[in-house]
Amino acid sequence: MHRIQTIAVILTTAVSITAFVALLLLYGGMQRGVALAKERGGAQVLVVPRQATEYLTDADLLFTGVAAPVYMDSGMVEQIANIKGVKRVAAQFYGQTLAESCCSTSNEIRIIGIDASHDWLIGPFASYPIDQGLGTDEVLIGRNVSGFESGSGSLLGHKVRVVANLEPSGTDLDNAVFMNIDRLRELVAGTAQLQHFWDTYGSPQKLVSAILLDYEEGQEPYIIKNKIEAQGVRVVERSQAVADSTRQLQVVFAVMLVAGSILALASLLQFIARFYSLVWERKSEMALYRALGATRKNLKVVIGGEALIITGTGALCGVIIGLLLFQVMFSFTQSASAFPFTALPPWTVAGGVIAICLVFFCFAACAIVMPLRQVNRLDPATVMQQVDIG
Amino acid sequence: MLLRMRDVSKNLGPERILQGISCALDRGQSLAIVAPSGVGKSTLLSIAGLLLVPSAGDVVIDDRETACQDDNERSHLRATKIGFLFQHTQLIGSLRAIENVIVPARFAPTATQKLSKIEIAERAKKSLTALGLEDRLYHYPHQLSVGQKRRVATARALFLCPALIIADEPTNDLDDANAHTVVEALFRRVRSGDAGLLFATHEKRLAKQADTILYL
Repeated sequence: MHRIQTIAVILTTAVSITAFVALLLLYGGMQRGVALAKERGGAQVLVVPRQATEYLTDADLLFTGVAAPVYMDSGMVEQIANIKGVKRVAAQFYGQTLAESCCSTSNEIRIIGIDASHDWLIGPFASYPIDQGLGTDEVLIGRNVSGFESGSGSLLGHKVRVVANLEPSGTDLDNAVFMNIDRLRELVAGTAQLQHFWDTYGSPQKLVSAILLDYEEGQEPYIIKNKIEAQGVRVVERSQAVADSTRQLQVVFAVMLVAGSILALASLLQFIARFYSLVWERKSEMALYRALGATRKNLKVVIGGEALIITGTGALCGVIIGLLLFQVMFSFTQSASAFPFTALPPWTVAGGVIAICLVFFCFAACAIVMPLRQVNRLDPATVMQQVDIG
Repeated sequence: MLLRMRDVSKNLGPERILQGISCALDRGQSLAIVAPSGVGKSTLLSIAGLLLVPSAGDVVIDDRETACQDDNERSHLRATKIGFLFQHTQLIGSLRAIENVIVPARFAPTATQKLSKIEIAERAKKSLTALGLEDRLYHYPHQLSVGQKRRVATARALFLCPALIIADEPTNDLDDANAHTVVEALFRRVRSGDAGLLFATHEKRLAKQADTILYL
């Protein structure tokens, strides 16, 4: 019976800590992603063809590296640049990798062609100076992109060399590969699997996928936005999209936090019940220990030790399962969702995990206060009268 | 002197359980307390074993006055000098026979400090084997008969080679064979001259084996 109760407390502790660890890492990662996205700037506005939103959400475009075959005439760049109130523009051309041997990546991700001479977005994330432009075989790699660990690889059947890994941004930059816009246009034009796009939209040399821009200060954003949209394109405001995504996540987090708190409360009550019964049900055993020479301090060490072992085992299991659960949830949010998300640095993770464990050890400490008082009242002489405890 | 009680009295509330009891016991000696039920045999054993503090009188264990000792000092004396064989065996249900025997070592680390865990376990095995329990070492109490449990309890009482053995009705509910085994184990320690035996019984035949009989 004792073993079953003890295992139940360990499991409850483990489940609660699992929930808290996974929540901490997810929420912390999201917060960091949002903070980084804000801190490192980026364009205020992303302009994409109107039809892009038929199969891609704003968040997909802003925060993931999913392939985005959306195209519009490159003349749109100049038209938008000439709108009053637009401070600066940068054009991007989207290609994509193929899940074939032509590419080092294992799945289809976005390749973004950039015009380095007009770029103010990618540079801050790269340790490599790109203002002189990228060479035809040079690429920049987002933090979450794999397949280029050796420093080189292939894209659409051509060898490329990694000149820099971008710092984490919490946005689509983390999940994409960047190269010279003209070189990318050449590569996609020669890729048979992408030919149907050019049959639809025309030669890639005359296309762009997205235009990033900032407003001039003091201008009314909604007026400029209306003027841009009048060109027949879709305007995605980054700050709004970030806020929407954050709000969604916060709701999910709040629900999970309530569930986690209920679990924590259940753990606390279980601790109190378990540790109280630990002494109450084993009063005879404790009295026997006293009769055999145990001091009150010895018994307190026994009770405290059991509490420590139960809590420690639960905490260890909870932390391990929590980290594994986080990995699963991380992959899920990366692949199936579109949130600004950046993994927390190890020391932050360690600090958070330690803090959660400390809270549970405090729970255990609170729960053994009463049992320790009971020990003080135990009379060793009762062992002479009590019936057999075995 | 191993044990000396002088004018010991004990009140429980308004009721006087014991009054003016005196006795003495040295190593190599045995003392039987004989009395009908409810007269205070167990109370007297509890006082001798430092489980109870007398209302009046002195108790000396191994030449140490215990009247002014605090709880820790009394616990230390119990752990190092006294072995208890309780009327009900008081084995711990969640521990195997061999683990029950080792329990006193947890609270008297000085008694076994020179022994490794393996050596302690070997010693416990030897104790149980000497009492005919070599095939019951790893059984839980609920898997043992009354006689076997009493023998395990006897092994526990003698495990640390205590100077004073206190046994409360050691042969209660036992058949002749088990009773003989337990009594023989207790008196063997006394005959070795290393320990004194204080026991309560209502069996005259057993009491007669003691050097001294105290009637209450």
